[in-house]
Amino acid sequence: MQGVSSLDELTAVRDKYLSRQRGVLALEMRKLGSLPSAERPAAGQLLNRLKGVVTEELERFQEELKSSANAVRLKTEFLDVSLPGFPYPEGKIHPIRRVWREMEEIFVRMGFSVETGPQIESDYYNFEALNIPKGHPARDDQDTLYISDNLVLRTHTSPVQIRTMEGKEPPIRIIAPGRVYRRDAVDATHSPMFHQIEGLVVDEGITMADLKGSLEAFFQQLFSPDTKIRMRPSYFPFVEPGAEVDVSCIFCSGKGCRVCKGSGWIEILGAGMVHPKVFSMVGYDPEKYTGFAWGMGIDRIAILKYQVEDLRLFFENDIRFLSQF
Amino acid sequence: MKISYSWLQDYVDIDMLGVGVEEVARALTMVGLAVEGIEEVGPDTVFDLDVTTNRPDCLSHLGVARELAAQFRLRLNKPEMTALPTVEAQERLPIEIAIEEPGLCPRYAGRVLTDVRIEESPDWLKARLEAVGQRPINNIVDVTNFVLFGLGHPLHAFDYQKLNGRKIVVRRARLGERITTLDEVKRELTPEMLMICDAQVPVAVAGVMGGADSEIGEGSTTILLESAFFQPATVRSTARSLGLSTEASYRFERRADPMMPVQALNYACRLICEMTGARCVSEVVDENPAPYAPRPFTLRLSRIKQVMGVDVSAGNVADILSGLGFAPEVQGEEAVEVCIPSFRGDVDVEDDLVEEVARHVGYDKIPTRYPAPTTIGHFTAEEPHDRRIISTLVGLGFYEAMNLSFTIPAKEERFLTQVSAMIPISNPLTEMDTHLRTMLAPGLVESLRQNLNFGNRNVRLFELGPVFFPGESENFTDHREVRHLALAATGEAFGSHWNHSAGEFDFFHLKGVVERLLAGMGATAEFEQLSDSAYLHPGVAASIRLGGETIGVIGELHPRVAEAYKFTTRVLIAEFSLESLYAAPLAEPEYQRLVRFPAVERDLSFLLDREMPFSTITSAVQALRVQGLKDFRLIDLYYGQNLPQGKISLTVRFTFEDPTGTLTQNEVSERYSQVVEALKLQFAIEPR
Ligand SMILES: [Zn+2]
Repeated sequence: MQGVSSLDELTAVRDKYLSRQRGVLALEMRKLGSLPSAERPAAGQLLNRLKGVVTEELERFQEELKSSANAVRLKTEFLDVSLPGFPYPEGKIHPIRRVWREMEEIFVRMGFSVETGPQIESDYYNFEALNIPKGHPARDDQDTLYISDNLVLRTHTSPVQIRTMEGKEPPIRIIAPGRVYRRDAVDATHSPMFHQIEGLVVDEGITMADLKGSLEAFFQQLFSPDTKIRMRPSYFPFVEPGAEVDVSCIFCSGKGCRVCKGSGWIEILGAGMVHPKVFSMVGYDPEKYTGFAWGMGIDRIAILKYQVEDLRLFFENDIRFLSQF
Repeated sequence: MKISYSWLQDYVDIDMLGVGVEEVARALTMVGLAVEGIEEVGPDTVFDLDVTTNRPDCLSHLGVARELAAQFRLRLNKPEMTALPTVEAQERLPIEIAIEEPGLCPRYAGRVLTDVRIEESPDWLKARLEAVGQRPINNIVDVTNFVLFGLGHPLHAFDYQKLNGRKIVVRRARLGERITTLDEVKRELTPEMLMICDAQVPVAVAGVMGGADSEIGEGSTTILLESAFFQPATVRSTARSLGLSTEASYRFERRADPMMPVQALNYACRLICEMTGARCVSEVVDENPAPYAPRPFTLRLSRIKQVMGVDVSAGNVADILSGLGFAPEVQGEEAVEVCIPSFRGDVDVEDDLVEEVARHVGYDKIPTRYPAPTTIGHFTAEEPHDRRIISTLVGLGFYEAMNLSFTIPAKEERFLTQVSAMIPISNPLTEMDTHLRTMLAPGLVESLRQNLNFGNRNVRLFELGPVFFPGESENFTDHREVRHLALAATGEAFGSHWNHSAGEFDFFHLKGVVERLLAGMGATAEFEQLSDSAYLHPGVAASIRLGGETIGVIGELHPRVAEAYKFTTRVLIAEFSLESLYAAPLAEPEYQRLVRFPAVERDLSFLLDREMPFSTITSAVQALRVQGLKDFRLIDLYYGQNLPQGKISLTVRFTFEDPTGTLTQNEVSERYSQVVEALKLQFAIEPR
């Protein structure tokens, strides 16, 4: 064993003596046959003992070698663990998608189904069926991008509500998220394209109390369990009574701060009880069914939640911005 | 709308309540007149009120006072609005009013006043107007404005001497007629526009603005005061086509009060006569061809409960509606009969009355109840696909981008060999958003460029969004919205690291991403050399094919396009339609039993013609269906000087296994040779 310093060398030694084909011991074993029969058992025993000794010795030596090899590794291998790890590239979903998903997930847990519809809509679904006939002042509020006399880029996702009601009988409990368009110049708070999420619940016995309760449950999950909501009267042609909904400021818990301009409330969405004319147009009996609907901007919630100062950042796709979400 | 706190007190005694300004502001907000600002103006306090389009009656101090009176159960004090007597017959001046368009102008009242002294208004009047942001002009104009902001009814004063024929005709403009309005702008008129004319020419744009020629001035001594009711739509369309919006048109187009013309006129005459000593030299002429008929209405208490979710007593309902001017009469336990006041054109269905009650009971008195779900919520059918794609890409180091759906044809032209039809927007706001995009790549390339400008170097973006195709029909009725996915990357494949050299993100990096994406959705795509893409490098581009259908492209941005965007690094792009990938639900995983016996690998190195696509080798190997061949992959590729001209050297690795036992050397060799022989035969490969 003198001079053996590696596992490879040890294997060579082992092969030399123990190999089944050409090993010294194997060759000696084969010679046993030529011995007189009386000598064979003793010689055989001797060889077997020798094999045992050699094997044992080799194994012992192997252990020694291994532990000295480990000792060398342990002595020589050293890393500065403070060096940077491998920079696998980072990817992120868009902040609007992030908020959108969060909202969808909450509503789905609350028993709402997600419905979608076309972005190029007919005048009927975008306006007429929502109690906004031609010449209605509400058409001015929502300055519209037209494709043709009869086709518009939808100004809200409300057409999805109409299409859903046309397609089935109550109970209805849906949300309609998606891209919407207005003829607005781009600035820090306006964009000709943004994202909206609308909701609709229709059944027998649905009241304004249910509207309040549903929105409160939603915002308590989206913001925090102590979030409060406040409804105050407002006007949207497709609901009656109509409401503006404020949530207690998520930054000061309603005490008043810069974000809520000291009021403790943040105006967040429009809502109301579905107008009986809208029900009549989709063939629901407004005496039997009542329902509520609301609409809010996904981008607006994202702006509020992350305190982004300029809406345009969402569509500039600067990875310094995107990597933060 | 600016509302002066002290002006409000002319109509309702708020001070009696002993509550502060803040409390009044809160009350207004909670009845639906959101106070968006409170400002001290001298001794006065001014509210900035957001009045919704359905409530033109609240575009006045009287209207706002009515809401407060109803909310706090106070009396509403209207000013004296009866007519002053007319002078003796011999002193009277003639005026004739003719309405030719009663549909557009259901009512027109007027009265002539003389001995008017045009001068500065008294201080109290100036203070009122200044508080609400109006510049005082002269006593007559100021009175009309005072009535406008006080009662909400627009008036107009003509210089009587300047009216031809002592006559007012309400008619449409004649072709070619013009008027110079008070703002000194000469305006072309069209027959859709309703005009106030004298015997000869237009003297005012009905409901919008008076004319300069009949304007009152310092020398005026006799005036005609106009107080009319115009149909909202006509005022809106005229104001729009003239590009004019005035305090008058703002109210008329939302619907003024049809019962107010004579009352407002009387009130204004009283103020003018009191202030200037003027005298009424004509009767109140009141042309009212289509008189307003008050509408009776029934409100069921059960409906209030059905919508609001709370019981409101008949007495409470009656009090609220009485305060708001609905003259309610309680009918037993079940209903209240009301008469819709003329200033509430917005009340149209029973639920509008429910809202009146709810507003004044207070939305904050409505309880909170969570309706038990009667449905099971679900995401859209596309959501699992979206999520799988997005999570894969995010995991592979891509940021999600979002671009607007708009573009201009010039931007897409660079990316297309022939310009495809696009959907135009008929009223675009700017020159940069005239059409809807038909592809995502141009927007994403622009985002990449922007990122480099921002100083970001290694950028990978993806966008998952809609593109729009016009279809065949001229009016776009058969247009299509298609979900596309686009990827764009430039820079290093991995960021620089002290221990690894960074390579450039190249075609095969992006191809790997696409392969991973598609595999994740249970699809295997074919990539076919593509040499005629307008925006991809002809030598580094492929079409992506799925089941025989081309769904998109992948490649390096064409040097010509790259130059146009001033890229100095390679830009890799892929874009494809997700339509067919989304057509079916994502497949459930299919479990294959694991083979318990060891697999055996054999490598083969060989020379191949450089022209031969590797995919043909793959297909040939697959076509052999060699038993137990589990995997076949390229592990090395080399081309260089020590190879024969036009040849490349490939090393592929075959993996064999058998579910029933360990393969013997002979079995492996036999299968291996089967493949090698077939490849020799088909491709004349030369094993090395
Ligand atoms: Zn706050």
